[in-house]
Amino acid sequence: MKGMKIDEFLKSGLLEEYVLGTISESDKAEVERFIDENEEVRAAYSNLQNNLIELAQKMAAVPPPIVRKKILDEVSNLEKGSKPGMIRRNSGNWKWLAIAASFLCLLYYAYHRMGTLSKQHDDLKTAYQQLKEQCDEGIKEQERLQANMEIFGDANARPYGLSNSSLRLNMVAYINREAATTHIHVLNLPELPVNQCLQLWADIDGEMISMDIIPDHPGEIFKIPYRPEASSLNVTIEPKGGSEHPTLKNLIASVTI
Amino acid sequence: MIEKEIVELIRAKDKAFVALIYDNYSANLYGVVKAILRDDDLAQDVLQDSFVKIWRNAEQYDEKRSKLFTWLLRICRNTAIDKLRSLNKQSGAEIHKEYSNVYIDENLSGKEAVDNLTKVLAKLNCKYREVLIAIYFRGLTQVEVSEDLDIPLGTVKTRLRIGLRELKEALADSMTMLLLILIAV
Repeated sequence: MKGMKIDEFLKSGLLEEYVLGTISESDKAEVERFIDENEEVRAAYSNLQNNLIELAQKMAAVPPPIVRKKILDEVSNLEKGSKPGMIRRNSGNWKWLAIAASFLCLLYYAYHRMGTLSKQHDDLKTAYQQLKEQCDEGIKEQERLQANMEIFGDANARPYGLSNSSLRLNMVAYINREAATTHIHVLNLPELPVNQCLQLWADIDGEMISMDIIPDHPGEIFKIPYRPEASSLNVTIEPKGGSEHPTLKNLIASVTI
Repeated sequence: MIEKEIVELIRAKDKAFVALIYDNYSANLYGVVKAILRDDDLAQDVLQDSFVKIWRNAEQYDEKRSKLFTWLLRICRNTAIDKLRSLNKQSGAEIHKEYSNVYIDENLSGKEAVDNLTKVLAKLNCKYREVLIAIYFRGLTQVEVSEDLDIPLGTVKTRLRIGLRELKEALADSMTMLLLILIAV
């Protein structure tokens, strides 16, 4: 970058990278030198920052009110010098529930041995049952996540994005040629009228073969037939229940495999 | 005025600046983070992480070097990108995105910018395009691009530089260029 003229510098895209902090450390000092030494570059930099604000305003989305409380609580904790602890959603709670359930189980056993059949005993038993159920749910959730990780974490599973930004469709197909499997991870789905559904198709030798109806459950992972000869995967909007042949004018996402 | 007030609070080490930043900038920051991550829950966590970083690093903010919002956005964007890369690593591989499918809210006029970007990218020499796409759409670092495309790191840097220059020349407005670097990872 050394020896670059102002005009050349302004055309380089470096200023945009600097504004957004994506520039390398080695180029950063040079960009700052240009800004410090040239009025024209300073004006361009200021203009870019204003454009950035304008762009962000166009993209603005108000976060849920709870986020404000969480952030201010967190900062208060930091200020007090207490151990930072993010107030997260309840992931991981099952471990504590498991510990609590084990503890209650011991209590229950000791209590039972003493032969005291009282209301407290019943209450304890109920509490234990409730905690055990929650614990079991946590374990099931963990097993589900582990199963997902086996799909995503397999180095042979190659991801292919199937998305449509304007309809907010976002899915990923994981094709594993070693295991001969294809899984679809549904991340986000458009809101469709009740009489419509999304259908997945594989292009096999120029013919669209139906793979499945896409379940209306974001977050779900489902398996479709493995078709190694397919050249692409495609998503169309179809009448509820699906169609025998794709409605091509309703093709909303496609990815070449 | 608000910006000046916030900076004064930062200098006075008064934690009230956090609430003031939140009330004045959180919607703009959250919109960008959401556009990068495409997931509301993740975006909320990242916004929370970002504000902790803002709190921790507030004294490093230099008003002579950038406007306050630019500084805030850099933190939020970097936190979102780090989260995305860490999730991609956890899932075993990066997600390949079509560059025509960059997430944009329907109410954002930047949708036209994306269409424009798609056309311009398609016209670029493929050796520059593949580096731009690897960095801005597949979220790879320059070192990862070097390994992925099997070209020296110096060549990656040169192609990125030329690719950005050609892109900037071809794009009529700076907004499209900013949009590319801002969210297309």
